[in-house]
Amino acid sequence: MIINDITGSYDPRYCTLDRLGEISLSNVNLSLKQFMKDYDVTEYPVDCFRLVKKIQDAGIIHLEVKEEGRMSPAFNAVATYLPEVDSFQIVMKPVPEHWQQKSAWRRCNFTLAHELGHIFCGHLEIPKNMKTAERRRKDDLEADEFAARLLMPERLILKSRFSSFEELSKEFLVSDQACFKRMNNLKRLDLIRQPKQAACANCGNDHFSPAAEYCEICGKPLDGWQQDGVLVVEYSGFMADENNRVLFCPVCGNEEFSDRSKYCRVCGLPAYNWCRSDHYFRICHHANATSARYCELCGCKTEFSLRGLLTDWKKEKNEYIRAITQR
Amino acid sequence: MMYNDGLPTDKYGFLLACPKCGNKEFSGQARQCAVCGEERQNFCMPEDKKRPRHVNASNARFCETCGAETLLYHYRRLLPWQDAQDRLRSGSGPAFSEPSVELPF
Repeated sequence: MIINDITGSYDPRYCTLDRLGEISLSNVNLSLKQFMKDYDVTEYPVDCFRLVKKIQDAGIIHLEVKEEGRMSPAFNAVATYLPEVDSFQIVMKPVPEHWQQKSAWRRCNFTLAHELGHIFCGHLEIPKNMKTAERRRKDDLEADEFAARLLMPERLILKSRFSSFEELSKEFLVSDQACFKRMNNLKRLDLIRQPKQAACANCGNDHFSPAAEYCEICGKPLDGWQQDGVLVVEYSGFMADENNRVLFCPVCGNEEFSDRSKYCRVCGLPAYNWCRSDHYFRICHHANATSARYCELCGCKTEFSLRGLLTDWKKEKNEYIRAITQR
Repeated sequence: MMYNDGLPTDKYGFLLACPKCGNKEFSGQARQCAVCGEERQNFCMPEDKKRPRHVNASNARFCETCGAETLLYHYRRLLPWQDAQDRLRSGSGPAFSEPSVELPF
């Protein structure tokens, strides 16, 4: 495939971003920001079929999606504006249910995002027959960029851990080609050749000690596939020394600790994020990293987690994605 | 944040005033108060009497080794940390409480 032939960080033959002017890019950027704000897109990967339902429920615009089997082979979907009923309509080829999450379905996901791009970038305000061929081509490129930025946000994709476009495309629910194009436009094709590092497939945590048997954030056992995650999320913890002892007490802010101290002298909080093992026969008492919600050795809840000092990882993951995508 | 509300001690860490009765007369390096018999160091007070007791700094409310309450906190000579924090932040006077006038025995 084309990917194997490329040695640099991008291939100018497939780089579509350079063909868009600065005004087009800022239009896409502003439209996408407004779109994400209006419809609160924080969960990744983005399933556009569900997103369409969200748009319909929000009621800001009237949108209808129709499936039509008798479409020209040149099109997968078409977005139109119906001025008589002030409504937008997307007509696309039928998507069988058994395609779910498969390559063809992921391609339709991108197609749908592309059509949403046409609607939310304002391309349908002027009828197609009044536009030049060049303008229509630019509209398509803008819609492509809208879809790519919506489904594969730059910060999220560049922080991901992957070794093939297949892995990346499955994670972001797009086709391999869309992934390649996005990485090529970002001029970071070199990432594909880097050795893959471990990340939890469930929560995106990438901090694992050599002895870890459980993910310290979500508590899942670290079987082979569990560390094959693509999306990486940074979870907050407290500042600690090399022995995982906190430098500041997270409750009272005390920063005086003697060499032997295991507890905060002011509020009595443990200075280590110990495992609060609930096994009947054995006590683990392992000192985990300060961000650990679960013990990395036995999978039980940790001291800081039980005391409510660490937020729920699902909530933190959503907040992290929201912060990283809407910055 | 530094909780510099510890009670005054000599260079060996012995309290200059008894945490229980407030007595200030001690001979040499007396380990116990001559009036009430209480310890002169900020020992921890574990609920299980068989467990070892540890000496702590004079601003410690809890033992740094076992997490149990300390002598000074037990006799309320040190304020709860929330109150101490408020006082330290607002800069309104010392964060330790004065000994009560009445003797507790």
